[in-house]
This record gives sequence, C-alpha cells and structure tokens, in this order.
Amino acid sequence: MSRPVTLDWPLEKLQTWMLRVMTDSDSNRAGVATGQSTGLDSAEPERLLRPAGVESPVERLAIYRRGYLARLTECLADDFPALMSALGDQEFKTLCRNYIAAHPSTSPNLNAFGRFLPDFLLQQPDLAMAQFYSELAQLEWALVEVLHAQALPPISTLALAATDAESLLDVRFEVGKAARLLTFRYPVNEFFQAYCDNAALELPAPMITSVVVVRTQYTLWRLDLLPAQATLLSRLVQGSALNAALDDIRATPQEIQAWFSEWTRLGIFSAISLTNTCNDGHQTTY
Amino acid sequence: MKRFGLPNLGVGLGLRTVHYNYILEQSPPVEWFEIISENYMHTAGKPLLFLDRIAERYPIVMHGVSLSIGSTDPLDYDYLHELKTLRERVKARWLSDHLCWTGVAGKNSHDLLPLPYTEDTLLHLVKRVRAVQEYLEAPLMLENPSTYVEFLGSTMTEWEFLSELARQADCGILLDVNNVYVSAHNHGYDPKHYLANIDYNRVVQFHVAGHTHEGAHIVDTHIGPIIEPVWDLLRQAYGCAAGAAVLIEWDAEIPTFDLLMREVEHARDVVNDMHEQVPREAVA
Repeated sequence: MSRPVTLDWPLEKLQTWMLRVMTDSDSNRAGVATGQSTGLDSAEPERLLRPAGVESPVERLAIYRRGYLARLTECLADDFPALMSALGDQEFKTLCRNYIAAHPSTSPNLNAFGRFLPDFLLQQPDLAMAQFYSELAQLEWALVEVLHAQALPPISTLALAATDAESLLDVRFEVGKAARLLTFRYPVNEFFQAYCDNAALELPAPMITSVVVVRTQYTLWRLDLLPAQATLLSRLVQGSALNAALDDIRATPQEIQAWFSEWTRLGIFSAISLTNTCNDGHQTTY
Repeated sequence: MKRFGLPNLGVGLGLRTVHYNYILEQSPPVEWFEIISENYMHTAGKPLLFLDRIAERYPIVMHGVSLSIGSTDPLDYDYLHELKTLRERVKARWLSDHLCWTGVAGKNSHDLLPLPYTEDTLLHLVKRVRAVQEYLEAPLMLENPSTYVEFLGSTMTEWEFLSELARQADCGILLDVNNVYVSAHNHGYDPKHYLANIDYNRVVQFHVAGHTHEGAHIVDTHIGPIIEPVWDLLRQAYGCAAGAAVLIEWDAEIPTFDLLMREVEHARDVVNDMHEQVPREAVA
C-alpha cells in the first residue's frame, strides 16, 4: 500500500492538484489524469485523502466538483434567465459547463462572471440562431451591469432653459454609467418582455431594433427606441454636439423635446456641457 | 459583556436580497444582520443602496467567502482594500471569513476548500492572518468550514488547528455548530468532542443553519429549518461562550421573513436558557 504523500507535497502543489481534480474534467479520476498530463506527480485521491465511511475519496471529491459546477451555473442562470428559458435547461447547462471551462472565475465575487457569455455564444459552431441568443445575452448582461453601476440623480435642465437657442445647439450630453444603448438585429427586448410576462416564447425573425437600459436608483428600465431616436442617441453617446446629432433626424421639434424630456427624466444623461466656441472654448457643465 | 473586545450583538440573521423590502418597510425586531461581504464589492449600484439604508438601522457584521486565507497565492490587497472600505461604509462591528482556501494560481472555485492540518500549514496561516489583521487594523474571525474530505497527512485535528491558529495569530473564532455537525458526520467523529476542545475565550460568534442529508454524507446547504441535534450543539457551545453573538443562516429555498423569525426566536430561547441575559449593544 502506498504511503500518504500529503506531507511530501508543498501546499501549493496539493492545492493545484485539488483544484484541477475539481474543475478540469468530467470525472475525478480523469481530473487526476489531467494532473499527470500537465506535470503533476501521479497521485490517486486514495493516497492523499482519508477514507470516509462507505464513500471513497473519489466520491467525496465529486461533491466539490458538483458544487463547483452547480454554483457557477446557478450564477449564470440568475444573470441570464431569459436565455436559459430560450435555450431550454439542458442546452443551457451544457453551455454553462463549456463557458465555465473556458472562462473560470478569477475574481473574489461573481458579479462579473457572465460578462463573456454574449461573445461566447457567437463562438458556438453548432448553435442555431447564435446571433439572436448572443443579443439576448447582451441585453441581460446590460441589465446586470446597470444594476451594479452608479446611478446619479437626473440632471437639471433648468440651466439649459436659460441658454439662448443658438448656444443650445452646441451642448453635448454625457451618458451616465447606469445607462446602455443597444442595437440588435433581432427584436430582443420584445422577446425578453414576453419572457417576463410568462408568454409563449417563439424565436423571432430578424428585425433591427434598439433599446436603452437604464436604472433610476431602485428601478431598471428598458426603453424601446424608434430608429430616429436610436440614431440621435447614438450620436450623442459618441460625443456629438446636439446640432450635429440632429442632422437628418426626421422629427418635429415637439417630438424631439418630448424625447429629451423622457431621456432626462430616466437619468440617461449624467451631465450636459456647453462649449461656447465664440468665447475661446469656455466650457460650462450643468 | 464583551468577548475578544467585541460587543454581544445578540441573535442576528443573514441579510438576503429577497428580504430587503420587508426589512425596510417593517423594521423587524432583529438585533443585527450579517452580510456576505463579496455581494457588496465590485458594485456601486442597487445592492449598496439597500445596504446603506439597512446599515442605518441595524448593526452589520461582514462575513467573507473569498479571503482564501489558506491559499498559497499572495494575499490580494485590492480585495482587502475593498473589504476595508466596505467595513468603514457600513460601520461593520467585525469581519469574518473561513479556515479554508478558495482557489490557487488566480482561479477562484468559490468554494470553501479544506486544508491539511499540519505544522507547515499552521505557520503559513499564522503569517497570513497576522498580515490581514495588520492591514485591516482589526481582528479577524475565522470560521470552521464544512468539509467532505480530510487529508491523510494531517497531524492535527481541525479543532486543535483552529484553536492553535487563533492563539498564535491572535484572531477570533466564528464557530459554526452546523458545520461541526456536518463535518463530524462526514468524517465519523463526535461533534461534542470537537466542541469540548475549542478555545472559547476566542469565540465571538456562532453560526447555526440547516443542511441536507445525501445518504452517505451531509451537504452544508444552509437550507433550514435547523434540526434539534444542531440546536443541542449550540446549547453545549454557548454554555462555554456566554455573550457570543448567534447568527441564523438560510441561503437556499429562502422562506418568508416570518418563518426566519421563528428560527431567531428558537435561538433566543437557547441563549436565554443557557445564561441569564447579558448586556448587549443598544440597537439603533
């Protein structure tokens, strides 16, 4: 019988072995094999771990392995509930298993664990409608990001009201950290709403859509945008002054005023700045 | 009455998101809340908004799951900085984490993994606990984990290791009596013997929770209600640590707040049965 080897192993080697057994393969024994193939000394769990009643050390290690996958899968299910519903439980679990292997957590917490999932979905060669699923994941990830972003109170537009009409065209809007503008090739927000309503889910046909995700303190909003709204807001996000952003926008002044009123109320903008080009570039931030 | 220089907070509850609104609307008579520290790190958003409001009304204790004090990776000072910042923000009464490691080579398993209890491991942890306490400028409480494997090379029992670590590193102990029950079942030792050999001078807090029998082993799921043998272990331990705080953990299949309050009342009965009321820090 082999003697215990724990004392011969530095702690780092033991921890590296155990983490690989837990995380690298479909079974504990295969995990040990993975260790062998990557330069670790050969070691069976039986040589390192005490027997425990009727269960072998391998069976006990499997508890950690199951817990690892279950914990991270649960995290992804919490962050991507509509995606899970759209894919179905089994497909989602398979996706998670592959994602967890490709993007193991390196952070003290799991807040950002799912951030690579939208791109990961695009890399799945056998997944039909991968673009749609990726966009759905983008929307759900935007909700997570906005939940954790700092939301400032809506900006005051009083100063703007006092600005003369000509200067007003030079203002620039800064989009807040708790706001995301997303444009999709599929009607993703409509699908997500159907999920929230417990309605029947049907994979949609392609259609260009845009949505703003924004949080006002305790409430998350998803605001569908008309094409003209999306164009205007996109230009503002990119830093265009109002004058340039409004170029070719087909809407009445009243409509545009109503849009800005709503966007401001929802806290999409965190600051407004006015660059007075007639006065040596003096900048005022409201 | 203070233990390890820290106040007796009474019986508290683990703060969980599903109860935020209830707590803020109903102000239930809970003496304190324990948060999972990492749930409020790497965020500037909604979780912190709720926590700030609850911390205005209740004492908060921070309980971490990613310090990884037993890892051979270097201590993560960015993590410690965030921990310290959060402690100051919520005026946490103390901080705790686990006698475990959670990852190595930068990879985090988000599990509380067991250590071999040897002299070398002890030396490694004493250095790290001292470094953490020096950085945090506060004592750290370490909790005994639930474990499913034991290392053949261990030369100490867990209770010997934990007590010796607390003494050499001058840190406190968070004694989870449910974890004692779970590990004792899984490894075939007597939980009462474990509890009889703890250095209670350093025990500041107890955890009690539910668990799940899986046939040949028990998993520490924190699904309640708490079973009577675990309450019995709390009675035994609390009898040796009057004035320690007690916390109810319930982390999966979380029930209504009313049901949780029944567990709080049960814990209060245990505490009151074991000792006369001890002075507690006033609740805001």
